[in-house]
Amino acid sequence: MNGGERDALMVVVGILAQGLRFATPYLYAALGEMFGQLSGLLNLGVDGIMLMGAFAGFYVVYQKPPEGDIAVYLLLGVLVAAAAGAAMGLAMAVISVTFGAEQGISGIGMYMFGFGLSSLLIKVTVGGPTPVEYFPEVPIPVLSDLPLVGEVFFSHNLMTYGAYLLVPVSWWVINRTTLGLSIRAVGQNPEAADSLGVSVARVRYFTAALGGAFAGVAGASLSIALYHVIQENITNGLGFIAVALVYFGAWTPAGVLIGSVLFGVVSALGLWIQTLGWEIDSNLAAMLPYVVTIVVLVFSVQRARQPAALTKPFERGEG
Amino acid sequence: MENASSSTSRFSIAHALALACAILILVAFLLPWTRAVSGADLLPRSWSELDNVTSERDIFATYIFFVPAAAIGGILAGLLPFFDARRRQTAAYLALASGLAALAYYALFFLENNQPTPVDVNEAAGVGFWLALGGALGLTLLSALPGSKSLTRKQALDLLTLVLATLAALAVGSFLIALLGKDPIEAYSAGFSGAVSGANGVAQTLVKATPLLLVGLGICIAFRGGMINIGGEGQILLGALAATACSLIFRDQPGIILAPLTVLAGALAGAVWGGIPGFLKAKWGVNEILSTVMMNQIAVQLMYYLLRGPMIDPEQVAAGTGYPQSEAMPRQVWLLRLAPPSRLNAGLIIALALAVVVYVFLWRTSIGYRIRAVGQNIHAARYAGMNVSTYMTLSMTLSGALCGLAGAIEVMGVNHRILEGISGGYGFSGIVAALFGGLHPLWTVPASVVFGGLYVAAQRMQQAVQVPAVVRDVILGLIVLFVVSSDYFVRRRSRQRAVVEEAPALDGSAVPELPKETAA
Repeated sequence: MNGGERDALMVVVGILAQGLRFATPYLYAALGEMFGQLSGLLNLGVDGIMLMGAFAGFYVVYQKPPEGDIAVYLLLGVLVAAAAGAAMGLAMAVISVTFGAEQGISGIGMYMFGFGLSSLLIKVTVGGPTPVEYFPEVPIPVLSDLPLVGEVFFSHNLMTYGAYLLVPVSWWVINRTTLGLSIRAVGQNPEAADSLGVSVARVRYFTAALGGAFAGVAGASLSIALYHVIQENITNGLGFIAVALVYFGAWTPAGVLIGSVLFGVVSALGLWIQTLGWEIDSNLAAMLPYVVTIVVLVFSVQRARQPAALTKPFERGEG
Repeated sequence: MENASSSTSRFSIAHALALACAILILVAFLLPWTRAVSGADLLPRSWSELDNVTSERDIFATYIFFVPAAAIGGILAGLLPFFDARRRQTAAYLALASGLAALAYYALFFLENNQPTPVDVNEAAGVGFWLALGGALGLTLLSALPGSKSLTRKQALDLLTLVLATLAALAVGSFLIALLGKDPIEAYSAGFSGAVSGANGVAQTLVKATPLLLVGLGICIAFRGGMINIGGEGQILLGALAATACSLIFRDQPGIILAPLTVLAGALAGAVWGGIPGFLKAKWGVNEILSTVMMNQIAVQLMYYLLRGPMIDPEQVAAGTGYPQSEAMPRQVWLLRLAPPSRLNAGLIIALALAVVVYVFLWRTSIGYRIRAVGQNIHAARYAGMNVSTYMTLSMTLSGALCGLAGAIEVMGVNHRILEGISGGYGFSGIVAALFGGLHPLWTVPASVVFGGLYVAAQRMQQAVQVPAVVRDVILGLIVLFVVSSDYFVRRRSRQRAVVEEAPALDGSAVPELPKETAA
C-alpha cells in the first residue's frame, strides 16, 4: 500500500466515522417522530423542539461550577432537554389531539415558537459563542483497536451509541409489545382501536410526548455532544429533514437508520469536500443534504404506505 | 342567494377594479422614470428628488403625503367588506365615511395651525391614518352587531377569536419579558408607540407590511389550492437574487425597460422555486411541506455562495472587507419613495393593487375557481374532470411568483441591493398574516399591517428596553398555535348551533360557488 492510497483510505474512514456521528441527531429526532406518525400524528415542529432541547442541554452544562462533576451535568443536560422536549410535545398533543387542529400549520407555529424562544434565551443568557465541556469519546475496549472498523464504529461518544441502541429498542417496542400494537392500531384505524378499548387520545398524547423528548435529546446531542457551543438556529433545518427521513424510512426503525446514516455521511462529505481536492464551493456543498432529501423523497413515496390516519384528528362517536 | 342581475353587475365591477389595479401597478412603476424618458421633470420637486431629502423643510413637505394616504386607507378598508360578501354594503359606507372623517381631521388641523411644525404634522398624519384604517375596521365590526345584516355571526366570531388569540399570545409574551427581568408594560408601550405613532411609525409599519402582504397573497393562493407552501423564505431569496442580478446585468438599459424586466425576473425565479415542489407533489405525491423547507435551505446556501463569490460587491472586494452583499442596483430600478426619510416605497401600492387582483383571480375567474375546488376536495375535483395535477402545480407556481415578487420589491424599494437576511422571516410571518386574514386576499391587507406593526414594535422594544427582537417570532408562533387551536371552539359552537337549529347536514360554504362563466 503506497502513501497516496493510505491517505485516501484515511479520508474514507474519516468521512464514515464522522458520518455515523452526524447521524446521531437525525436518529433521535426521526425515531421520535416515527412513533408520533405511526400513531397518526404529524409533528412538523420537531426543528423548533430540537432548538429548545439544544439550548436546555447546553444551558445546564454551562451552569456547571468549576468543581462540579461534568458527568452529572451532562446527564442532567440530556434529561432537562428531554423534559423540555416532552413538554413541547405535550403542548403539540393538546393542539393536535384535543383541539383537532390542522397539523401542518400548528407544526409551523411550534417551529416558530421554538425558534424564537431558543434564540431569545441564547441572546439573554449565553450571549456570544461560549464553549463548554461535552460528551467525550468513549472508545469501546478491544473493538476500537480493530484497524479501520474500530475508528468507524467504536470510537464515538455515549450519545451516538445511545442513538444506535435506540434502533433495535424501537423495533422491539413497535413490533413486539402491546404498546407498539396500540400505537400502530391507532394510526391505522382509530375507530377500530377505540372500539377495542384503546384510548386513541392517550396513545397519541404518549407518542407526542415521547417524540418531543427524543427531539429534545436530538437537540442536546448537537449542542453538547457533536459540537460544544450553542448558536441561534443551530439545527439549520435538520428537524425537517428528520421528518422527511420518517417518510424515507417507510415508518420502520431500520429504514430510519439507513436514512440517518446516509444523511450523516452526506453531511460529512460536505465538510471533507475540500480535503478530497474537489473544486466545489463549500456553500454549494452544504446544499447537498437538502438536494438529496428532495430526491430521496421522490423515490421513497413510490413504495411507502403511510399510516392511514396520519394527520387526521380522531373524534369519538362521529359518523 | 342573491338574484342573477346583481351578481352579474358585481362580476363586471370586479373585473373593472382588477383592470384599474393593473393600471395602478403600471403607474406606480413608471412614475419615477418619466423624467428619464421625457428629459423633463414631470413630477413635483418633492417627489422626484425624494431620495435625497434631508432638510427639515423637505421632510415636512413629504409628511403631507399622509393626507391622501389616510384617505386611501379608509377607502380601501371600505372596499374590503363591499367586495367580500353579499350583504355588507352598510359597513362599506361606514368605512368610507371614516376615511372622509380622516380627511376632515386634516382639514381642521391645517385650519387651526397656520404654521404647523414638522413634528405637529408628523403626529397629525399618524393620527389621521389610524383614524381612517382603524375607524373603518371598527365600524365594519360594529355593523356586525345583532340586528345588522352586514357581517355574519360566524365572521364576527372569527374576528373575536383572532383578537383573543393575539391578546393571549401577547400575554404569554409579557410573562416572558417579565422573566427576563424587564417591565413588560414599559416594553409593550415602547413597541406600540414606535409602531403606530406619527407618520414615521406608520411609514415603518407599512414598509414591513409590504413584503408580508405579497407573501400573504401567495400563501392565500397556495393554501386555497390545498398546498401548504412553507417555502416563502426561499422564494423571496430567489426573487431578490434574480432581480438584483437582472438589473446589474442589463444596467445600461433605460428604467422603463429595465424596471419591469427586473420585477419579472424576480417573480419568475420565485415561480420556479415554488413550482418545483408543486410539480413534485402533483406528479409523485412528494410532501410539499418538506420539499419547500428543503428548497428554503438550498436557497440560503445559494445566496451565501453568490454573495461571497460571483455577485459580491466589487467595492467590498476592493476595500478588503468582503462583507457579503451585492453591488447597488442601478438607480433607474429604484422604486419611488413615498415618504422620505422613511423607506416606504411604491411597492406598497403594487402590493395593495395585487391584493385586489388576487381576490378577483381566486373568486371571479374559472382558473381561480378550479384551484379552490382542488384545494377543497381533490377527489371531487378529479371526478369533475379537472386536471388536478396541473392546478396543484399552478397554485404553487403562482404562490412562488408572489413571494419572488416580494423579494424583488424589497431589493428595489428598500435596500437597493441584496444582502444576507433580506428575507427577514417574511416567508413564515406571511403565512401568519394570511391565516389571520382567513386566507382571503383582502382581509390579508389589514392583517399584514398588524404584523408589519409587530415587526417595528419588536425593533423598538429592543432599542428601548433591550428585549431581543426575536421575541417577535415567539409571539408569532404563539399566535399561530392559538389561532389553529381556537378553531376547535368555533367548530364546536357552530356544531351545537347546528344541532339546536337542525340546520342542513351540509354546510353550504364547503362547496365553492360557481362563477358565472363556468356555470354557463
